[in-house]
Amino acid sequence: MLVQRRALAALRAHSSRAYATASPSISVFAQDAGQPTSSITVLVKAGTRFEPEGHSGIAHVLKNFSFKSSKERSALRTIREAELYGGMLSATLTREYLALTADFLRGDEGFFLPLLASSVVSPKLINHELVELVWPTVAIDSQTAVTSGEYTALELAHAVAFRSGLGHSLLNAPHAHVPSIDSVKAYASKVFNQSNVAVIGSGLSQSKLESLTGQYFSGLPSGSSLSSPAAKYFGGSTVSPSVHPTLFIGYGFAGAPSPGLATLAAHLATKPHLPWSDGLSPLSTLPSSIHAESILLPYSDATLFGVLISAKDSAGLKQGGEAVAKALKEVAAGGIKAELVGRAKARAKFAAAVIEEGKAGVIAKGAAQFEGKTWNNLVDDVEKLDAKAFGKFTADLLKTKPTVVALGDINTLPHPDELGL
Amino acid sequence: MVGGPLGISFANQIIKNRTLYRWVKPIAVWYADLCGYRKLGLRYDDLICEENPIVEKALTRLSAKEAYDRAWRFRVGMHQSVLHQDLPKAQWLKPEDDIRYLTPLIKEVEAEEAERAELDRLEVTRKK
Repeated sequence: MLVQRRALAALRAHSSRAYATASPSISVFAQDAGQPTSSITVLVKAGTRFEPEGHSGIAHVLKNFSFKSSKERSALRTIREAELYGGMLSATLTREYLALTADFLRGDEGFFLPLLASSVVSPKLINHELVELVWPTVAIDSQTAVTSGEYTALELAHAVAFRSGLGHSLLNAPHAHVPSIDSVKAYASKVFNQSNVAVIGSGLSQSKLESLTGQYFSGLPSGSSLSSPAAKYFGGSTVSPSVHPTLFIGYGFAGAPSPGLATLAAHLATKPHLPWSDGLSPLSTLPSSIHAESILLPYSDATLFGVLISAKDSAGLKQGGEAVAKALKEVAAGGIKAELVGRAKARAKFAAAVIEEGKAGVIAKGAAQFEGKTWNNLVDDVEKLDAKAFGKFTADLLKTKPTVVALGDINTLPHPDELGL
Repeated sequence: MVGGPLGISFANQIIKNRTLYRWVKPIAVWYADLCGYRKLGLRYDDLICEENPIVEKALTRLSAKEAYDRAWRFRVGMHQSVLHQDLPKAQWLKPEDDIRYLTPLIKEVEAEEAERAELDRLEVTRKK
């Protein structure tokens, strides 16, 4: 372990000072599997779905403001000290949460938790940091993202499927202007409060995390948790010009994560789990120039399922889209063999188990506790699903309106009715 | 320049000593007025040499209004200089308007540079 010169030693002595105030009412969740590294995530309900009207993209700006200057330490010192400890700091933004994560060697939580806390409890949010450090990265993020057909298709799919709330764009618009520092401060003061923040740790004990959280998060103001209207699925179709021909065919589902959608996604998943194999997915027989992959994006109260197809031209997209429509109809009619259903279930269970095992699973469990829900193990739900129920689920799903997004040459792009949906 | 872009100043030590402060203050006020920049409508911080990376960075951090006002004072000052005339007395900068708008920003940039230098020279030792 490391000790810096006197200046740093003094800083650590200061940062380990005990606070006399009562323990804050922050949701804390920890799970220790005895691994050699630990990880702490500060989960903030500050995803794009909670963005105030007229401030779209502000969540992205706030995300890139993570680990910048706070009252305790400057942006540079944060990075340099984390490097000295061999830790990794990262900020991730989803449509629901802003997650500030520190991964570090076991035993360094006494340094990294105060660091994470300072980013939430006492960020300075200085105008020149917005202009010099934050905004250039925001602009690069969005400009790089829009060059990807996959990103654009999924953004449009969310907008078409859920309209407001979950339909909000994940990143700032590529040609937007710099927001005022006051609007960033206003959003930060709204989201950084005790009811809106959860601390989740893996590789350290619950009691340790609770005592550290009580100590360092006591300065966080109390407030109310952010809420947005419950997600509602609409569906629809849209086309957009692009140089990357991409087609998204999918369905949304409001409500808890569904075992049927997970199994359907696993049935259509083309990425083989074995080398030198094409897999048994109905989409594996497509020519190699057409790339199709199933997508399953679960949120707290809705799920977006679909298949993303990329090809060289609109004809390729049409061929891929028709294959997807055919495969879905086949499942709905109960026309697939029992062993294929078994394969899809096994794959869905494996995917769910892998997620549950890792750090993502700990965060998902912590998020469930934060939302006041019980953690639902999808593995058991998928196990209970039989072939008949799977066919019935798919038939019901096909009766709802699909979400179809096509990018490419706008004159020749396939529309839903041409794909047989 | 010795002491960075702001030069050497004993102001802090003088302000701490009340007797010294009472003696020096009138001389300082008289000297600032004698410099004559207020007669051209300029502020003291307008005279800081800006051909310097630290000051250049500090200038980018001025608010839009302050940057505009600074450019405006320069134009007025330049024009009066060409005319070899001071402004009419009513338009001289009042001592209370002679605000140090740039100095805090320069100090901030200097502190950042000092922190960077300190972290670059940091000696890391292993805990026993």
